[in-house]
Formats: sequence, structure tokens, C-alpha cells
Amino acid sequence: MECVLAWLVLAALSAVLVVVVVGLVMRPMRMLLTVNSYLSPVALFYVRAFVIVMALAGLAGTLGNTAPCAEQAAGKNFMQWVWWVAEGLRPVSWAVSGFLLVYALLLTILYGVLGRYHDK
Amino acid sequence: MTNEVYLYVSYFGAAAGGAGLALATTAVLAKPNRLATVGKARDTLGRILRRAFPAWLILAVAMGFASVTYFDCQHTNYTSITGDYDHLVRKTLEQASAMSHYLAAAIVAYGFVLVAFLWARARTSHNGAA
Repeated sequence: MECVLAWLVLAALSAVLVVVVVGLVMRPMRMLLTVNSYLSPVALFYVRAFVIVMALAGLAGTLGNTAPCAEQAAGKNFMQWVWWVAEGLRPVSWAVSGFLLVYALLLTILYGVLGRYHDK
Repeated sequence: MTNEVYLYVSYFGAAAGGAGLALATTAVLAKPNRLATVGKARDTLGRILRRAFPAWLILAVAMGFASVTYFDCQHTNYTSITGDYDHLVRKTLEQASAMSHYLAAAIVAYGFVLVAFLWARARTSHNGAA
């Protein structure tokens, strides 16, 4: 029972992390992608792709953690479960931050390539 | 349910789930992808990108699925693999994680390809050759 509960807490924290990151980046990204008519047709693709990529990164990080089996779980006290959850957040943070970094690079290149054009 | 039956169900279930995830992602991104790649200029290239996109995502998921092996130092044969239920559960979750990872990477990689396509199209239309 504690295993499932700990895993659910980890999944919930991962989801919160992803939602916060997406919420922080979404609005400026929409503004960036509508600066001219070369970028605006692709805005929807890059915004949706960003949400999907972040969700998949969070999912991949969370599923990479397996709940401890019954023998390992026996005798664990509260702080040990907290440490287990904190340790489980490491791969989630790595995945989310890694993909966020690459996506920021992608948007920088996109803006560098197409943002210099001005509508007539 | 015996461990062997669990192995069958989880293995083919993970494969089906991965394929479903790739198809769902394709469906969600199909319209934005069409909006981004449609146009007179470079239309043939845009059509290639639109047709390659679903295959690209499904192949990425297949790569993630196939990247996980059930064999390791403690599990060197089929009997030892099917005898360890925790190992089977761990490997199923690992497969799901790898498929999600590869799918996310494939979408980002496609984003870079799309930048190159958009750059080529913008150059063509800006030079008045469209």
C-alpha cells in the first residue's frame, strides 16, 4: 500500500513540475511565434509539440522509477519514503530540464532564422 | 496469472500502448503540421514531411521499445527471467519510459527538420521565386 502511495505522490509531483514549466513558458512562446507571418503558421505546431514533449519527458522520468518491492518496503519509516520520492524526482527533473533546454535552443534557431523577416 | 502469462500480456500490451501513443501524438499534431508545411512553395517537400511524420514517430517508439532487454547479469536465460516477477514489472516500466523518451526526442528532432524546411521556404518566397 505504501509503495503505491509513494509512487502516486511521485507521479503527482512530476505532473506539477511539468505543468509549472509549461505554464511559465507557454505565453512568451506564443508571443514569440506570432511576430511575423513566417512564424505564425507554425506557432500551433511548436506550442502543441512543446506540451506533448514536456508531458512525455515527465512520463518517461516517472516510469523510470519502479516502486520498491514488498521486502524493501517493509520497515521503512516516513523520512525514508520522502527520500525515495526525492530520489525519484531526479530523473524527472533531468528529463524535463534536458528537453526544455533543447526546445529553447530549437526556438532560438527558429527565431534566428525566421524572426528577421518583416511583413511588407 | 502466472509470470509467463504476465510476460506475454505486458510485452504485447506495452507494444500496443506505444503504438497507440505514437498514433495519438500524430493525430494531435497532424493539423498543426499540415498548417506549417502546406503552401505553393516547396509543396513537394512539405508533402514528404507530412507523409513521413507518422512513420517517423512510430519508428521512434519502436526503437524505444526494442532498446530494452530482459537479459542482464542475474537473468541470463528464459527460466530466470520468467521466475522473477519484479524483474518483469521493472522491464515493462522501463520499456514504457524508453518509448516516451524516444517519442519526445523524435518530436524535437522533427522540430529541427521543420526549421530547415521553413528557412528554405522563407528564402524562396522572400527572393520572389515562389
